[in-house]
Amino acid sequence: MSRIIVVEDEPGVAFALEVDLKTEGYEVMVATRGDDALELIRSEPFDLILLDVMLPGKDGFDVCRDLRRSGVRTADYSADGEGAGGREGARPRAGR
Amino acid sequence: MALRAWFRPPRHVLTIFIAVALLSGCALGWLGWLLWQQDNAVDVQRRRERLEEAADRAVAVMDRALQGIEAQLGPAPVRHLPEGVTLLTTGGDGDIVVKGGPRLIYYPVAKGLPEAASDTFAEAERLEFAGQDPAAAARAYQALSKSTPPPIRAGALARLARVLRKMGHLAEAARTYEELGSISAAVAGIPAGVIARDGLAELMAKEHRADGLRRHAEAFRADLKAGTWQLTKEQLAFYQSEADGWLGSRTAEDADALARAEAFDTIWRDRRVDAGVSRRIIYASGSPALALWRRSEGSLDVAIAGRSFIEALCQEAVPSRDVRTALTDVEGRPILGAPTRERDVAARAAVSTQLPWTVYLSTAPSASAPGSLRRRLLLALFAVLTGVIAVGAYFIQRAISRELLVSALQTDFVAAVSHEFRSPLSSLAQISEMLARDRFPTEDLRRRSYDVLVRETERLRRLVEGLLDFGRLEAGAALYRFETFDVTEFVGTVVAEFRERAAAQGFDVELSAPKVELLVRADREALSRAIQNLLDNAVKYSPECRTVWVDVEGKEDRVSIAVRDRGLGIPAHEQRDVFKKFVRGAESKSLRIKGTGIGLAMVRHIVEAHGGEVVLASEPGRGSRFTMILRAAGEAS
Repeated sequence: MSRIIVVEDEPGVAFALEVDLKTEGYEVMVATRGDDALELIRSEPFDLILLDVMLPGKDGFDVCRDLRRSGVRTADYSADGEGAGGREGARPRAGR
Repeated sequence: MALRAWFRPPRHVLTIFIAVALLSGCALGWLGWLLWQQDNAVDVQRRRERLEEAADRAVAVMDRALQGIEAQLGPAPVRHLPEGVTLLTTGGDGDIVVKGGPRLIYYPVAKGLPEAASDTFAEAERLEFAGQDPAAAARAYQALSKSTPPPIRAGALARLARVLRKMGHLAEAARTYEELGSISAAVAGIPAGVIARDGLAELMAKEHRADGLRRHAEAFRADLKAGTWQLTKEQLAFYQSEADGWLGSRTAEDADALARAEAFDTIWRDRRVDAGVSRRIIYASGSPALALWRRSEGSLDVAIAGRSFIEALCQEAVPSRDVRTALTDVEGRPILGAPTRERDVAARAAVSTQLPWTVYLSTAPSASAPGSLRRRLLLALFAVLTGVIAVGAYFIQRAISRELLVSALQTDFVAAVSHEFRSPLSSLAQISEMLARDRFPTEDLRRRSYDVLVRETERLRRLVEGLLDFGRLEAGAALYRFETFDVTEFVGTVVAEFRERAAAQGFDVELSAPKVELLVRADREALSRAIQNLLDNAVKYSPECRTVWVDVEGKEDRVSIAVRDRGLGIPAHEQRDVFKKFVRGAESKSLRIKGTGIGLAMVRHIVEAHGGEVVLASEPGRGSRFTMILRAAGEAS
């Protein structure tokens, strides 16, 4: 089963994504802060990272940069904070 | 590019304003400069006119003074002679008589004093020189000295003194010289007084009476200088050298006295001098002397004046200290002062004025310019105007800058508010859509989705209410319903409500309040909002420490409610501004902490409306403590 981590500080959005993705049959984890997400991703393997841009503390770009630097090659979709939000605004950042 | 950015609206307002202010300032400066120039030109013209008038007046005064002296040349008696003017007349016999004024130091001829015929003393002199019998000679001279006519007495006494000196009877010789000194007659063309003084000095020198000799010689020198005796230039030079020898020093030269004597000498000797009245400046011994004379048949009347008279005359003719006077003789040699090369000089040539000199008047450098007061006023006016423009420009520029800053803050605020709205709206939209499509697999998840909907709706409501409240506060339309209640219990309720919300984010609120009733008179809703705003802030800015504290205290007539955190803290330079609307700390932006920038502004509004104050104590990295201090109320109503 594919594992997905949702990094999102808005609890409502995170809850909806979690339920939706779980219904689709994925194993989903949620992190509300960039630092928490980095810790989780480094300790467990994920197939996809859904990363919000507007995060408190480290933002989505910082988290992405840190992950790439530490050698994580997982595909990541950044939810563009400036766009419509949600899945429609997401765009692929890197391939596996 | 950076320059172009500067001219983009709304900053172009500032640019235009600065340009306008600079232009008007330059125009004012230019206008001032023109006025100044014009004023200067008028001033120069006026000064010139005044100098011309002064020159005319000076010439008239000088001419009148010289005419006054000339009127006294001739047989008329001396009425009023100005100081320093010597009036001399010479008769047909060649005798020179000083009619008035100071005597000259020497004259072209010695005064024709009466003198005994030389053969009067022939017999006595034969005894003295050929007979080598001084005693007999002395007796003979003594006998002659008893005669009545002063010339014979003088001649006999002078010779007697000489013989007594030869015989070594010095005391007797001295007495003889003293007697000789009082006789008004001449011996061998020299006044008896001079011979007596000279002889006495020589006796003192012989007796080595140094002190007496010095006193005597000094008095002699002073008398020579004062023109006590009418001596010729050569006689004067001889006796002055005698005095110099006794005193061991040269007689100080009085250039003015020498010039006056020489001037008279020149006129006296000048055979070319025509009949009639004339005026002339004569240079002698490096000093100018004025000579006025009238020659008629057989007689010559001369008035001689030195530098001091000319100076006094100038002073009288040009009394103003603001005008500088210079005189030159007909050949252009300076008599008094030196003519300046300035443009504003009023000159009156000797040829046209009949004066013996050319008069130059110029403005003294120390003279106060007549237009200086007016010009100072003009300068002051322009200084004030420039000051007003500068100060006005400064304040307007400040106001515009402030407005620009506020407008930038408002833009930030709109962006922040939009974001604040979008977050709960996104949640609501997503969950509503999932509910509509029946995407929740279990009843439990569906129920949890309802909770999320409730929470997000509540969040939106709080946001909208907050903004509306802020709008009312800003418009001054907020109405407070004041009532007296126990603040400990009230804060407890507010904290309990907040604790529920904060728990969802993993935060805890610790309340410390006294067990007693603390009464305040306040608006419950407003005070609750103020506390909640402070708590919201504490939670937002405390990313590490998950506890915030609320302390309630009552002290005398004050009740304080403090909310503190161990969060990021606020740098000192931001502490004053964080209470201004839309202002958010630099760190809140860099760390992307959500917020609209109106929370603390509302807190201050509310607390001030309650007659209290908000005190902030904060240290970056160690947290903040916001304390609302309110007045305690007397008793519950």
